[in-house]
Amino acid sequence: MSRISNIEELTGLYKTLEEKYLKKERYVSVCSDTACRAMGAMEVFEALKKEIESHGLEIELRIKDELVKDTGCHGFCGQGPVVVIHPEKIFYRKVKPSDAKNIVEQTLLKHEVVTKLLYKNPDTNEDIIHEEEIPFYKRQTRLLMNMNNKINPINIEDYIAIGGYQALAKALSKMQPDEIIEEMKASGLRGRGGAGFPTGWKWEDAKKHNSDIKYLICNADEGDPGAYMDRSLLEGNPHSVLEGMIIGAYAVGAPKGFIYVRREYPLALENAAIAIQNAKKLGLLGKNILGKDFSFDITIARGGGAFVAGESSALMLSIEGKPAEPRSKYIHATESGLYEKPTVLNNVETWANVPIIINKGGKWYASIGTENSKGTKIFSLVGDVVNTGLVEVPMGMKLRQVIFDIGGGISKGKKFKGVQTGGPSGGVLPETLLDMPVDYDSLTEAGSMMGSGGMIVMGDSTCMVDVAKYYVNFLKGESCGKCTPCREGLRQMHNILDRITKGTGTFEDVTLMEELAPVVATASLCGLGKSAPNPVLTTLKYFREEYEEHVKEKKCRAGVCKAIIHYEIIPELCKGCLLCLKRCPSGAVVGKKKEIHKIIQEKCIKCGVCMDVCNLDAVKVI
Amino acid sequence: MINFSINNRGVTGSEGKTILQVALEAGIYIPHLCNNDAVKPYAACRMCLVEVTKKGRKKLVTACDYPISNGLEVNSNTALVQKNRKMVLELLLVRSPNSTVLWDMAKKIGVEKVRFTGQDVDDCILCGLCVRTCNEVVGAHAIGFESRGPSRVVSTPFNEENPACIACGACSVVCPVDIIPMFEHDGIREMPRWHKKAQLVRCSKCKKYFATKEELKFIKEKSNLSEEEILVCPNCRKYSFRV
Repeated sequence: MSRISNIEELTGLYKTLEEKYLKKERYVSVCSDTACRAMGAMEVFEALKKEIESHGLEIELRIKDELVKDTGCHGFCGQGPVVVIHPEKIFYRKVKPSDAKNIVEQTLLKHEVVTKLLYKNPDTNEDIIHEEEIPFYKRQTRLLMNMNNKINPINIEDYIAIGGYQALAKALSKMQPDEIIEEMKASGLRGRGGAGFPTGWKWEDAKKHNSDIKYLICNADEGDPGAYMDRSLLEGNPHSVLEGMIIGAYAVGAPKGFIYVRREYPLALENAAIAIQNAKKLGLLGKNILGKDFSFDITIARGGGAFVAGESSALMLSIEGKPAEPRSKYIHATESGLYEKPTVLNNVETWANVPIIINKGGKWYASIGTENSKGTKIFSLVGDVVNTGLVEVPMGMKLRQVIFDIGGGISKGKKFKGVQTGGPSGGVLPETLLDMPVDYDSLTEAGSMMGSGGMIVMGDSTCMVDVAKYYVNFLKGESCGKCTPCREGLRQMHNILDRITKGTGTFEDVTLMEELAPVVATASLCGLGKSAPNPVLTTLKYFREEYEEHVKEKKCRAGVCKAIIHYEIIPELCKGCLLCLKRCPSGAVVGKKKEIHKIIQEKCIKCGVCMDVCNLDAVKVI
Repeated sequence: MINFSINNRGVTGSEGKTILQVALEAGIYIPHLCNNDAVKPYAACRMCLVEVTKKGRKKLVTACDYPISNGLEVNSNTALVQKNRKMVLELLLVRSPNSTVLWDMAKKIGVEKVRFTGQDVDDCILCGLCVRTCNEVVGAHAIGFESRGPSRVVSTPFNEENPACIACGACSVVCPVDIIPMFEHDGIREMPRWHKKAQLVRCSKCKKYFATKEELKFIKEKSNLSEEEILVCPNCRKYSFRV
């Protein structure tokens, strides 16, 4: 493809590609995101290709990278690998390479559905054929994710064909930088990386400062355990992020941008690099973009994977080649950021929202969501929930709707206990808050946060003290160690929680924790330390009785804290089947066939195997 | 000049100064450990937390790197400041329980005992003054931080003797908790924390040991002084080269 030298040429290319794209009615979309790949999506893809070739069908096989979200199942990671047949959007789940023959012969040639690959409605047990009818998708509002199932992420033509780079054309031909900023302000878009700073104001501030050079940064360092929406966007639709950045660069007057991606995201790195290359070839990046007096270039900066490097000031130092240690932000990055120059740093999802806002207008965007939280937000719904995957919903949707209507409720017959929002330093919210709207302010008020959009659902087999200890331990290890409250405070918080889970904690420990945690939250230098006590503070607030049980009764109701629990066999239920006796790795179970078994506590290593293997629920935790 | 207030007392400072600088000049006590005018503010120890009110909004900030502005209201002793400051010091005392500087500070701000356990770490409080002095003032870059979180330590690369260290002793002088020992004996300067032993050189005039060989080489390269000049100790230099 040759360079596009002006806006008319881009519009012309769009028309040609759109027509060509619309003509391709039938195609098979294989979700090949990281999660689906792990489940064998590439083998499925190869098998389908081979099968189609052997029949000589004229069907274009598209690979939908990383967008496990949209195509009927893309985003429905728990059901991968997902295959969708267009234009009917027949949704096949958990497809194996051996299913390729059936899919081609039945669906593509005879227009019949392969029943065994269909998704079953868990409530009615009925087969669902079309992706849009699946409850998981039906209740979402997919502004960002809906493109993913339509395009091959590394093909810039696909993106242009579905209207990509039209927002850039509009911005460059019809809008002044200030108008773009006004549009962003009107949209009410707030940063999707966690802090929720209004994007338009950030841009305006950076534009205001005079400097020989300004920078844009896309933060793709997403380090939250269990969260992967940024990865999915960058893998599945990198051009939407690039387009957002180019528009931002024009508005702010920045000639240089960086995408900071962690090294653990190889596919995101690869797709982003290809996207940049292709955009350069077309002249959408580089000098005199679309014939205008405007130049912008993007470089990829690879992060080593430290959690703290996702903190904006630490990230900037990391790009500079220095250790990722946060610094005070009394002078904003929009005045002195990367290389001490005015810098706008936004998260992947924030950038991807920009083209939508420019296309449809800030006012339209602001019509979605709540008063202070506009638009949609992608959450990665994981944990003890039936439908795990990426869900995009309007701000303000109730937690209950997300977890139960979209997520399908709690898995494996467990009961809901809590949900942690916002990543490892988010708070754990109890059942009584399930009807709370999911927006920046409500979450913060409840002691949690939006964060980058992690949502970890916990069933009743989760011990809340153990959960707090787990996250404090994670954050303790990921603290850069620069400031005292975070480094020493988290160390002490972990010591206290360790004592409580081991049954040696006292009420003084709980009191001391209640004194220490708010200091860590107030006195720490950066967001990591300031938010780190959230899991402790919220579990203390909403699940206090569990702390008291651990301290007073040395009891863990969830049966998680090994040091204070023991296993027993209920004589009335045991039939003497020898199953647990044979599987016990430490020989702690004694008994004979058809005689009631017993656990010798001194020998028991509390691995829980006996309980897992017992078919009669005769083993219980005490 | 910028006019603002600390503890309801009017103070002035030139633009670019920090709250801590102006407070110290005005004789107002704000505890601090990681700050030294010789190096850039670092805001790591968090002892200098103060409450500022700007445009009606209150927040806790570190005085050592918060830039002053007209009309800024600073309060260095609110209940919130005290609560945070005391806890931070208590946390530092776990690390460095034998430091007289820390206990003197504790007395001043009302910390009486340490309620935490965990003295299983190095007694360095990780204020970074040694590292920053070595980098910013000396320019030898001989020591640095290693690892992160509670495992963070100050060390030479691979915790071995570093040829870049000139054994100048600046780190030892600047350490607020005095845990970087430096000895001189038999013409050798020893800094055991950095596994460093350096040969001392005698002054060409008074014949007393005054600097290490590496130190003189380093200074000579940086300063363009002659061999003759460099071998005279600071004390004798006063008389030898002054006009």
